[in-house]
Amino acid sequence: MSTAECTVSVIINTSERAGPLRTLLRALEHQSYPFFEVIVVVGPSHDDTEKVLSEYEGRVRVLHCPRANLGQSRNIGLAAAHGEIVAFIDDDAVPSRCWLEQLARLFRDPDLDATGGVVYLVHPNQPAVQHRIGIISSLAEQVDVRRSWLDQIVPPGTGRQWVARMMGTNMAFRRQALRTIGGFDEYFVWVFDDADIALRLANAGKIIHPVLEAPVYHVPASSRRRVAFTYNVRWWIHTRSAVYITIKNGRQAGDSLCSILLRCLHLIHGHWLWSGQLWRDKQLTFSQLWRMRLAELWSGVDGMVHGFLLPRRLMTGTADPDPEADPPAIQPFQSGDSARQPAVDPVSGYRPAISLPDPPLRICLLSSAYPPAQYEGVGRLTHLMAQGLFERGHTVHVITRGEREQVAFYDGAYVHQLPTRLERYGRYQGLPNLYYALNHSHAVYEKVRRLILNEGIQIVDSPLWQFDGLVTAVSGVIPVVVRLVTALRQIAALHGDAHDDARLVGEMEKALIERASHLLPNTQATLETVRQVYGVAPAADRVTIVPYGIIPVPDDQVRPFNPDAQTDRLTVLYVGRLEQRKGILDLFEAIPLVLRQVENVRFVIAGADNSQHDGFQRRTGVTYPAYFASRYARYAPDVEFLGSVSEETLRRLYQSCDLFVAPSLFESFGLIYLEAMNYAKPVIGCYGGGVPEVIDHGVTGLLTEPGAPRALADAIVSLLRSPQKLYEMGMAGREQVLHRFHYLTMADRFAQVYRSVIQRENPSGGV
Amino acid sequence: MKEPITAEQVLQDIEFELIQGMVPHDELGAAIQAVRRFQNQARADAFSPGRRKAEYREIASRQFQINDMLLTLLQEMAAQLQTLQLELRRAAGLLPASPPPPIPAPVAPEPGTGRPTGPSLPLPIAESGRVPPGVGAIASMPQEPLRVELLVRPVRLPLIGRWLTRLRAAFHSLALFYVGRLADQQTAVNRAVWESLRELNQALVHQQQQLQALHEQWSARTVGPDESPDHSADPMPPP
Repeated sequence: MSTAECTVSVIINTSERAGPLRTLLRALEHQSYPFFEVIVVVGPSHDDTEKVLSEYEGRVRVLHCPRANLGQSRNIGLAAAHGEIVAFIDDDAVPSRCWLEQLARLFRDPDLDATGGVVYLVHPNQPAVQHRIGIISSLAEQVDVRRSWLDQIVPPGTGRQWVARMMGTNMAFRRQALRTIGGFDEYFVWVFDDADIALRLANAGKIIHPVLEAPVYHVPASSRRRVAFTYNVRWWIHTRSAVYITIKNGRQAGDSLCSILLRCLHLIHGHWLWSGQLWRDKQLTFSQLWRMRLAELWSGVDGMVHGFLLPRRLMTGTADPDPEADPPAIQPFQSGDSARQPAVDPVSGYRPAISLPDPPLRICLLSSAYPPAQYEGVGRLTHLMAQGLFERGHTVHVITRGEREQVAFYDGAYVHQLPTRLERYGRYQGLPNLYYALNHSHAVYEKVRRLILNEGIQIVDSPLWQFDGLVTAVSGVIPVVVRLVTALRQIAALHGDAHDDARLVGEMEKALIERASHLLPNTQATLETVRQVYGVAPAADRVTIVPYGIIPVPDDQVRPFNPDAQTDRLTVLYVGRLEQRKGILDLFEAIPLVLRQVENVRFVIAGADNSQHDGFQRRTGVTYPAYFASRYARYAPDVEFLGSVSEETLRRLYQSCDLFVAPSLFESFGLIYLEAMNYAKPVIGCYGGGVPEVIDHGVTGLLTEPGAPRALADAIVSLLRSPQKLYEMGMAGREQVLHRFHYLTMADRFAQVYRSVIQRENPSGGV
Repeated sequence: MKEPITAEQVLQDIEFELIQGMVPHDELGAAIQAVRRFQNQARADAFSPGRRKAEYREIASRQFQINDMLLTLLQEMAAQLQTLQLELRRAAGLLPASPPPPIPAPVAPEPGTGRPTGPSLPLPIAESGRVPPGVGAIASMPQEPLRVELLVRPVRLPLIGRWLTRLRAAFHSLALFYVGRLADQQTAVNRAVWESLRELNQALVHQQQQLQALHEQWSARTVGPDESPDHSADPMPPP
């Protein structure tokens, strides 16, 4: 066997975590490196662990550990391992796709004995980097991104020996090196086993080299030792382990007895203070506080007795019987079907129940805004795409902006948030839009490179808006397809913005279009507009029109108009930003015309006022609602301005309205019409942009000329006076959503394009 | 009048940033090549006949970019030097073992010239007229051990005040004992650093003197042809 194909034993130590274990095993099916076996060491469990493991019979070696002891459990796995490399991962973690590939690559260096990668903490509120090349001293002082308040209590920097360490959920060793030092110390029932092994390996002259790649995503699950995401943790086990590791390694490193004792006292005292802090923060009750403190004291004594007086509890038979002999063959975990398994949601463990004829794709979507942090046009569409592609079995990564570097999971997609770091392109500081967008685009490129390395992504999909994918496209490291939406240049022209900043942003959009591997306009009109605005003429085989789709609401939430019921008052709904492009002034003019003809009508206008940005305030000195109130004061009681509304409110508005109106002068597509149609509402729009490709005139709604308020009023009146049409058009719209504009239909179309582009650009890309 | 920025300039900057990001630790040689290629391209863009006359701002901008590239390279080289130093310390048994640093790729000569493409060596200190920093400062560094004085605020309670003050003093003494231990360790580190700096300083002064001597020797040998001694009659060339 060549060194490139060194075998790996993945060891999972589990106890009463059947759900997370199932997720992990499903995720391991997607590993890019096939030469590995999986050993699961089951601790005391009373849940469905055995049932989960029975699903993998013949592919997973199952061993048992009689006690809830992590050190012992790890040793059992180590003793049974056949791989040249042993890799440990927690049962509540999920590896990146190229985790083993990266580790195996590192172990090609024959001098390397231990390594490990980054650990991302997947937390519902505070996701973060949990571990990234930590350092530990012989007196258990940690310099780590996890450094907590507890670490700050105890004075650091006194240990004589400092070594790099890995985190237990992402560490790998050369099996022979680990066995030579006697495996793990079984005194560590939980925590510090990883730090101890690093110190002992270093003492034995072994080489440890943690890296920034090969990430693992840690989704903490509850166990007998802790309740996830709370402070309900058996902290005294920390004290016990910390005291023990200090004594054993401090003495080994030659730290003075006085230093060791002082450090132990500091640790016990630190934990004592820590429990007090938790009590003050109301994380513990008074009785819990004192139970914890007594347990801390007892654990400290226990750690000192075992540290000073008793020998280490190492595994017996410290080395392989014959290291020169060929190791026994591993039992490969992956089967013939593994490559075609659908992606799995690492948080919920959900995997779409579909069978795939081809291996699923690994796609990276870009969107500066993304739910739940921001919910606007491009972000909303990207979210729908991510949901649809995941439901079709593909692995989806989304790169978006965030306050700090972190990874979250949202509806099946990996959401990588990047902070805005203005480190480059300093000469464009005077052009803020260009400056921010270029820096973000560069940060995206760097993230994409990491995702290529660690997750094996095959394609990047960038919206034209804010040209997130420009630097990636210029670099040429991966195919970049571009979703054509309303161009910034178009909006700048509409708002009369001729500043250098807007000009250059438009130029960058054009550059992105020219460098794209493929273009994905949502309508024919969008494509035409891009051709006119940028003067580009993309080849026909580089363009595919993909109409957008949405998730149909359940039938019981649909509220079609009831033509037989007596209605006191009809409601006309407008949803969208209040700005010139959205035709809000035309609607204002049409409202009095309607109210003069139909009495029992009210208008509801939901959306943020954008009068400041579109120049309306500059010209008139007032906002749009104020303008309407002063200009059409007589009709103001029948018009309600709601401002920006929540998703829940929006849902209720769609359900309660009778007619939906959005007279935009231009819309590349108009997702809002689909949202209204989803609730079986007839819609009125204009012949502007891609709207005629969404609204079937006379079938699902009516179309009028843009900028024609009288025609708009006539259309509204004609529908309000015909209850039967309100019902029929609404139902026809719902039918369109269920078939033509379904988000899974959209996802299938996108996936088809991605696959063809990958095959064209990289025929050996493995699709 | 200032010319407007063009899309080509922005795209050039993107490519420049991409090149910068491609300087990995173990490929310094290739990185130097990339910088040189970029410089050649920039030079050709600015000065080639037939091209439009480059504005001084544009030339300065390119120069800054090249400076940035070189600084990045220097930073990478410094990181590698630091790794090497750590390895030396490790070899001396002062630190635990870790993998060896990557070896930089050899710098290939520039095609056609045979000249090495690495950055040019700095001028000798004596020639550049620079004074080694800290020559005087090192010698005047204080070598006093770190000390923290015991300072106890007396408790002014009747009867028990005196006892509480003594108790407080006892606690403070205990704390100072440990602080003193840390201070001793730090003093030892400081002393070692000072010793190393002093030795380095001496070596530097010595090297400077050697350089000066060599420089004078060189000046003496490279006098004009009319002043040079006539060796034509000598049967052997001068050594």
